Amino acid sequence: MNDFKEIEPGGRPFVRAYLEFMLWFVGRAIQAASKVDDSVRREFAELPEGFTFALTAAPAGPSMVVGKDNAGKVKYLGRSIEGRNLNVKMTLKSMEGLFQLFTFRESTPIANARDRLFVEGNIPEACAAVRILDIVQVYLLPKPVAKLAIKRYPIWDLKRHSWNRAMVNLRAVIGF
Amino acid sequence: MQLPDHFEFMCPVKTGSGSQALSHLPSDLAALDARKPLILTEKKNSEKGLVKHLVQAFKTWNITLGVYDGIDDGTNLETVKELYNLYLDRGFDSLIVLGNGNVMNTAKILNIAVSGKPEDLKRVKEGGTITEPLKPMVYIPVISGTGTETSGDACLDGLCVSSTFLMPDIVTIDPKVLLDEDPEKVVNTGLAALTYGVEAYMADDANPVTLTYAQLAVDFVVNNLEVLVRESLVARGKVKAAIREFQAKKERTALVNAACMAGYVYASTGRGLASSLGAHVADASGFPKGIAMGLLLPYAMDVSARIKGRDLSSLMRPMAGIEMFCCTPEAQRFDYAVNRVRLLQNELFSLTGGRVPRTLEDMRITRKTLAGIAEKTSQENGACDSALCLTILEHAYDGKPVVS
Repeated sequence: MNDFKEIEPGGRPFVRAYLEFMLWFVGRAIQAASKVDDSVRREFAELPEGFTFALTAAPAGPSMVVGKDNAGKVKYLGRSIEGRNLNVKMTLKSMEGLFQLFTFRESTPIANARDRLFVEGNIPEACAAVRILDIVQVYLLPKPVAKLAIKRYPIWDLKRHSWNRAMVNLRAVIGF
Repeated sequence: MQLPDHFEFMCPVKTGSGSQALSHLPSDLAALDARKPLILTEKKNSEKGLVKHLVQAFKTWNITLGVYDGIDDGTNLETVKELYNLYLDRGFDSLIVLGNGNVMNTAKILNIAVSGKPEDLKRVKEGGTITEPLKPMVYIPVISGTGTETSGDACLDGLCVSSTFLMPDIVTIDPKVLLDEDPEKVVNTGLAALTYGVEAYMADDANPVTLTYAQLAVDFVVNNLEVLVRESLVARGKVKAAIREFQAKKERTALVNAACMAGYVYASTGRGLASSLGAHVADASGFPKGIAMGLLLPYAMDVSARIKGRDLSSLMRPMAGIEMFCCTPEAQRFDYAVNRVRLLQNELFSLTGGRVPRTLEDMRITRKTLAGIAEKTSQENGACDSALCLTILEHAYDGKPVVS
């Protein structure tokens, strides 16, 4: 059996670090957008109180958890899904899938069509979470990049494109 | 086709194909409760870096992979015995096959042994059947293959077994591991897939589901094989070669998809005239089986349509596309299909400088041996009439179409 060997595939520390940063920033941006953007506010208003959703990659993250408390306030709840009671959990089948998503080589609908993610939870709530993610990506990314990340780039007024965008980015940075 | 009064179809295989398909593999394996797979492959696949691509897909999964890359033409039941001990000693729970026919055959036989007792192999050899599902098995095809890897057939060292339980659980087709190959091997894969696909149309037990798979297999081969071989022979600079490689990946993926689908079709329809005769012609000539089967295919089509009276006109649709199919009179459709296969073979003969033969004479088979081959095939496969087999072989010898 000279031709046999055992291999430990190891991890991808740089990719993980990049994804953890991106998820942290997007999580905080969702929190910010819920205060600044009417569409995001409306989406969250439709969701039940105490609603929590997570975006993660199998088998062990990185992850992002966002929730709405009983007072209706949206909060980025951190990067751990352990012990949380999640209403919607969107899991990419591999970290590579999440990396493709956050390097904007594939949009969420394309990743879904290519069977790269599975959702645990109610479909309408998962769709709402995807719509929120799409709006936040439009706020965070320049138009040519955002076009790659979402299905259809929206037509927004000037205020939303300039003032709201600045506020979402600023609030995401300072975490307010 | 008319809906049959009764039919059955079974394909227990999950197929994943396309960009990043390998990255889905760990979660697909986890869904089968497999945590420690043993990868079986050939040395050349390790040297080409294909194992590296596979290992890359398992990063972050905290899984230990076993890799055995010693499978070659000399692999026999002794090797299976050694692998059996290795599998149990190291606690593996599944098999990943990275390669083609020989590796897959070894893995299928090994899976019978590791899923039960080693005596099961002896029992199967004596005519016993496999009655329970085996351990999870994944098949990752490379560009060269036999077209039966995804079927339930396995043959190693004289031990031939057939069971639905031998079909792989998962087939993952990723362009990353489909590297450029010797054109003869590519042609062998393509013609084997084409033969099994077309034979489904000629089979008595064909049903709408097998024909759907068969149609796709025929479409992918006819529309990709020739261009893939032609372009692989053109000398290019580095930049143009890189651009071409991008397109070639799509064609190779289509061809390998065809080969996998041909295996699913083969598993539910069995052998036809061309594949039964082709196996013996390959033995007699030393040419690969796929090439021998492909050579005999148009003559088997002629016999099936013109002598047995089977309607093969619908074969034109995957070959020519729906528009051409619709504007061709029904009476001409079979002629188009059979001539398309002949044209493909003649093109391949020309492109490969004669390495892919057009006639049995090109294969350097003597006319005297034809009767023996026909007789042997007829004895082995009761559905093949000896006189019809001889008709096919004699016409294939001269390259002369069979007329009614």
